[in-house]
Amino acid sequence: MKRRVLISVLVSFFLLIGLITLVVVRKEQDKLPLVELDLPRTDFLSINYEKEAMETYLDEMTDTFVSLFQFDKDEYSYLFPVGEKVSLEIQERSETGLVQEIRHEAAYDEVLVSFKSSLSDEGIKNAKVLAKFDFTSNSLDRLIPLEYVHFDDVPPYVFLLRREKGPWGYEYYVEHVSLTDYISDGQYLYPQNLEIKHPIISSCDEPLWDGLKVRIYP
Amino acid sequence: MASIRLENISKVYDDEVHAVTDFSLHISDREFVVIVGPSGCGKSTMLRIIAGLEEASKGDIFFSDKKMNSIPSRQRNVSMVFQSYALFPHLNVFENIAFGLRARKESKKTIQTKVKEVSSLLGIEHLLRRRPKQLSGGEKQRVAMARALVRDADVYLLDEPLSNLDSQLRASLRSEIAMLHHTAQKTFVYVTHDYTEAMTLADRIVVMKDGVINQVGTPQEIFDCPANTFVAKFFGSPQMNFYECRHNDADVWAGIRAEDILIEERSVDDAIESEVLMIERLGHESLVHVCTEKGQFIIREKGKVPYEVGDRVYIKPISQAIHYFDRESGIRIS
Amino acid sequence: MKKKHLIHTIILTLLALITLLPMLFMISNSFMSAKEAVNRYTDLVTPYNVWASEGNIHYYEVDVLPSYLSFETYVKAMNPTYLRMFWNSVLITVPILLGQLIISPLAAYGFEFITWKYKELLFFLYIIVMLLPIQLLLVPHYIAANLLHLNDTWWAIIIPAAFSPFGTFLLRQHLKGLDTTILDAARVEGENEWNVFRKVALPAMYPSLVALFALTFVECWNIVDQSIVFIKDVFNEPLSVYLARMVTAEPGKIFAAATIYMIPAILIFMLTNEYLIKGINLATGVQS
Repeated sequence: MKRRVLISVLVSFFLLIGLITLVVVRKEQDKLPLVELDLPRTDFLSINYEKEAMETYLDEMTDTFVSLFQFDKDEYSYLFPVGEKVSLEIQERSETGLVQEIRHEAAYDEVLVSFKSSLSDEGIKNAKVLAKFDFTSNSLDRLIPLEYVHFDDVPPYVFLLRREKGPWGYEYYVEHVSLTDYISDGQYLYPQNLEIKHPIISSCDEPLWDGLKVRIYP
Repeated sequence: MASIRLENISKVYDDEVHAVTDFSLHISDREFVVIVGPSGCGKSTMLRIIAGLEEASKGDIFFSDKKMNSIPSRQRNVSMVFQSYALFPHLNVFENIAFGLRARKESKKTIQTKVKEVSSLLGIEHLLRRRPKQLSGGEKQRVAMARALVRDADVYLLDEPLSNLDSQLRASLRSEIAMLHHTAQKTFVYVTHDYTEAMTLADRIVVMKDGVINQVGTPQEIFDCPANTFVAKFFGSPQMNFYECRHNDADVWAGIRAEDILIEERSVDDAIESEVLMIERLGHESLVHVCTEKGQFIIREKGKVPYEVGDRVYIKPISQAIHYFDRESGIRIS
Repeated sequence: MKKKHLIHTIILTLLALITLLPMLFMISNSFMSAKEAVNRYTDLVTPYNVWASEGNIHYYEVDVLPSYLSFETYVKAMNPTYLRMFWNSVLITVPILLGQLIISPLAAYGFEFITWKYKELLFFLYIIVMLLPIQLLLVPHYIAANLLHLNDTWWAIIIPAAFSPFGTFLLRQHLKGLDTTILDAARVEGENEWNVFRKVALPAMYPSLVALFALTFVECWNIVDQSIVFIKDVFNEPLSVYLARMVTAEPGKIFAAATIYMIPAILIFMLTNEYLIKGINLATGVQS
């Protein structure tokens, strides 16, 4: 008799733990915010764009001219990586400039391009500096649809989904990836020096931040 | 039909111990054969060879003219009762008895009826739900016998089944076994070291010593005509008296049973002078131990004897009752 | 006589309490809320709870009983990771138990009742392997596991343990004391060898089997050596190892976690109590 009692206690203990496991694991999953995912596009990016500089000034130190190009956030915006050559047209003359710096401000992005010119600084000041941003990718690239990029911070960022091994299957975390150098054609963003290895979090009902644990199945 | 024929069976264990040597015997159907002998003479080994639990090193076994040497126990259709009863401790009495029937996949109903039948035959129906450890020696023995009888085997083998019981139980169970043999009408092979069991139960007795058959015969033959000194000494209590003698110009052993010696108070012709050493008074008879120049003798007398220790008496063996055995080999001289 | 008996009882009770003290302590602490546990066992040596000081050594008061009963730690302890480790332990223990309980009786029967050449030599080797410390066997096991590509799985632990010679040894010793005539009786009654084993020898081994079950369970439930060596993935560890990890990471939950870990072992011990004693008695030949 006693033996039966003990055996049933033992069995019910294990069943209880099993039940608790199911409940706890499920509940934990349910508490996590649900995210939608999307993958980067694989496509050729090609831009062909002209932008007029907002202002141009002479940098005394390096004895070069620096033009400032300003891009709105929601405008066609494309930014070449620092050190990239840009073809400029100044008063119908072509020059080659070098991207010196990229600044991300709250409402717009600024690209500073330096170039040498034979014109005087006076002439330059009044001249119209046109930059031709010309880019065609020579391979299939991983393009991020622009609607997934968040511009509320400087630099803009995307949220990627990082998968890690957890006790019951995989656990998913939000990864904040800043986009510093990128080229955009208004629809897609082509990040420079960055490989998007994880799926992109396209949307979520709740606010997200870096390191947050999320779930991908309802 | 279950006759057993054993031809030249020998069993040797690998350390060169000869348990059985050249054993040949023919057992007829429905015969009750008792193999008797001192401990270690090979009788149990012989029984196990018949059962199929041991394999003979040499020789053949036939059951009703079918060669059985390499056939395993379970196919030989024998039943065995062991000295230690060998009841299965984890089963109750019913299951113990039913074990063989279940092994042969008999139907539940058959098992029920047969077990009930046998247990009532042996008077143990009230024990059917008990476990072996709750039974007394006699009850265990009956269960073991019930287990053997419930199957309709051709041959029943009993290995010293009564050795572990007290003498009263032994006597009563002995007669029960005899009755069972009569009712069952099957071949029984019985092994014991007790000669009285052999005498009372057997149709024929086989006397074994050191793995060799010394004599085969009916109880009366063996008692009246022992083939050698060993058989003569083994049968009879008190043992046969032996003394050296000369017979037909040869030195022989003469053997005379305790009941075949006369005691006289006065000297009669050919009587041997002797002194009473001890008297065992058993009520219905007395055993008188005397000492003579030829050695000590035990004499059985009916009822009371008027002698006392230290008395001088004269003993005379009845000459027709003297058995003569060769001095060296011990074999009977007819 | 009575006085002596009383003194003996008192001494034994005290010894028992001292032995059990860590366990009782743990159980009572598991009912504390997490904060209380943390507060008590971290270095909170204030003038209020210092009981005595000698130089740099401070003795301070510890209450055995919690001041406020709470099941909070139990709830917290049952997080998915802990539960996963619990089931890891179960999934390691059950195959080992099954393996031992199937292989050992068969092997013991073979060693005891069947005669074959080199039997005693092989049994001698079994005994030697059984007596070797587990640490010595870890290296050959590791090499073998590597060759079989089992290095990060539980099979590297399960297979050596399931074939452990201890079970065979224990059961064979028990069988030595058995009356072999019942096997003969079964054979004569018409059972083939396998049924003789199954219906007669196996039931006869039952007390030792239960003892083996209990001993193997405790050994597997507490397995640490092999799991540290063979298992690299953190989530595949059994609970015995994870518990050690937990102590440093989360001191509040450790008591509840350990109490839950202890329950199956206690239950199984209660189940197999009498048989354990019987089984070991029969194996060593000492009558109680």
